[in-house]
Amino acid sequence: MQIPFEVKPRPDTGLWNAKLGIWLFLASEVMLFGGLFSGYVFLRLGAEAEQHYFWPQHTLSVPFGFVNTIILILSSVFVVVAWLQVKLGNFKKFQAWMGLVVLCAVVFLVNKGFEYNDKFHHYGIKLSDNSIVEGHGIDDTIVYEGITEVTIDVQRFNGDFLNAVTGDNPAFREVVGGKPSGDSFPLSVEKIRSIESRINEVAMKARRLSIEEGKTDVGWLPAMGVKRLSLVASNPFSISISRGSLRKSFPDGAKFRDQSMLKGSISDKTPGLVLHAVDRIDLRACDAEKLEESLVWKYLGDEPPPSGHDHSEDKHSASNISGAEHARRAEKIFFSALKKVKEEAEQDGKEPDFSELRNCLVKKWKDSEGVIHGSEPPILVPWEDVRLYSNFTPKWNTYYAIYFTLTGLHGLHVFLGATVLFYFGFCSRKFYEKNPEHFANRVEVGGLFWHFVDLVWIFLFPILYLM
Amino acid sequence: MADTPEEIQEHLKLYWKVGIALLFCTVLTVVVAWLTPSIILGLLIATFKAGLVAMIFMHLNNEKPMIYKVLGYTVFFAIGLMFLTLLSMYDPVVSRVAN
Repeated sequence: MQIPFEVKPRPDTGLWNAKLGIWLFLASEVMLFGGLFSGYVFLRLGAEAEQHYFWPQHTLSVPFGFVNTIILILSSVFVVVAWLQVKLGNFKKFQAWMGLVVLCAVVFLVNKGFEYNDKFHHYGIKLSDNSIVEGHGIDDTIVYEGITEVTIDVQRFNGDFLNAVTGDNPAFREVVGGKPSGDSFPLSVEKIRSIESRINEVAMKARRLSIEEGKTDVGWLPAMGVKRLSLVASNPFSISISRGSLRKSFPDGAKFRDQSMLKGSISDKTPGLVLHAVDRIDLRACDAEKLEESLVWKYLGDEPPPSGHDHSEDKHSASNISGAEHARRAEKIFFSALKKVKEEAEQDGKEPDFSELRNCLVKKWKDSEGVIHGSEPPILVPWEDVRLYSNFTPKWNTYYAIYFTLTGLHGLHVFLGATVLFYFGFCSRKFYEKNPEHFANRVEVGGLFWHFVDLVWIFLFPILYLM
Repeated sequence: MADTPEEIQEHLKLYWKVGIALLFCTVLTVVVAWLTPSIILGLLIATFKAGLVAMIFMHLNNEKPMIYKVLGYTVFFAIGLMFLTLLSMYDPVVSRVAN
């Protein structure tokens, strides 16, 4: 059956069907991205109203964003040129231009992949005085030692903590009424299931007896089964684990994601969180009068203890000078700049503006003589002074939440648009030969979608990379 | 839309010119952001670029009235979306907690 108005316009709308369809679809896309842009405005204005929360600025690579903008603009030109080649009847030239469009899309997505990868390997630590350090090469290994008491959630237990035990897995005994009971056994998921069955069997019998004696008329329900089990290890043992993989850590114990709770103390070998190469110090949320007293200066330069994991492959700076020397350089960079701002403000008779300075890159800094200094010191922050740490993902702050949502959704549009255009370019020769005018309309529809993708990026580039 | 080869060639030239203008505006956006932290200026340049893409590449400078109607409603509601978040300032729950 011939579908009407694929080539000729409908008399009432003046448009062929696909054209009206794509514009209705693009209208819905405008609302979709409009909602997300509105979310961006909300989060950004909200961040400015918050006293101890600062919107990250200039944390994305401008050259990367610039190149991607150029690529998308060029691809937009290529797609209209390709469409005109169909109109001129040059299918080979159309294919060549469409090939360039698809190539641009691939380069754009590869660039984006590099950018995402960089964010996944870039970390921030928020200290207890709201100061922030950012950098590369995190080591969040935490060792608990002297563990004997373990409480497990019978339903959720998956044995994860056993993988973190250093040395041989210990034997355990059940704790009943506050005292160890029964024989010791090696812990496993199967063992917990058998203990659960045994305890529940006893409870079921007791329930049946109660019903027979007329004490209750409610039968056994699965929710009445054993929920928690306390165990005691025959010998104290230690665990070594990334703190990020724990549900919660305490000075006297660790809670795993399956709710297993282990009581022990943090080893002196892992007193805190290590960032091997700090590249930015952000003191915007600290008291402006007490910048010199920030905890950052207290801990900067502290190397990880020798037994910590070696993350040297994550380091960006390979240097033969010590962490303490690096820290002194970073301090010098920061405080010389601070002094300069104060002096300039005094000369001009104005209030000093520290807003730019307090969010300072220490890996590269130009002094008043134009000499470039740089330093990437390590930092060891004691666990009690770590308020939050994360790589640059939505967990770190809402900027990355909206950044990944917007650019991820846009990237998906690039991928799907490029797939459709590839299909037109390299899998539609028969369609073109059968009805060139209809084919040109299809290419125009694909092109309109591609221009919309470009249009969204035109706004994304300045608001995410430059402002 | 152009259908004769001559008209198509004319359009081809126009598209390249617009492409070059867009590239120039992109460079300008980066330079302006480097010189001044003005958000408004950056957004104005972006809006101009978006206008060029919509008007020339997407042919909105010469379209049928039906498309303008569809887009008119879209623009109205999209602008409304931008102001929707202002309602959070008058959120009765938050105001009560703050007071």
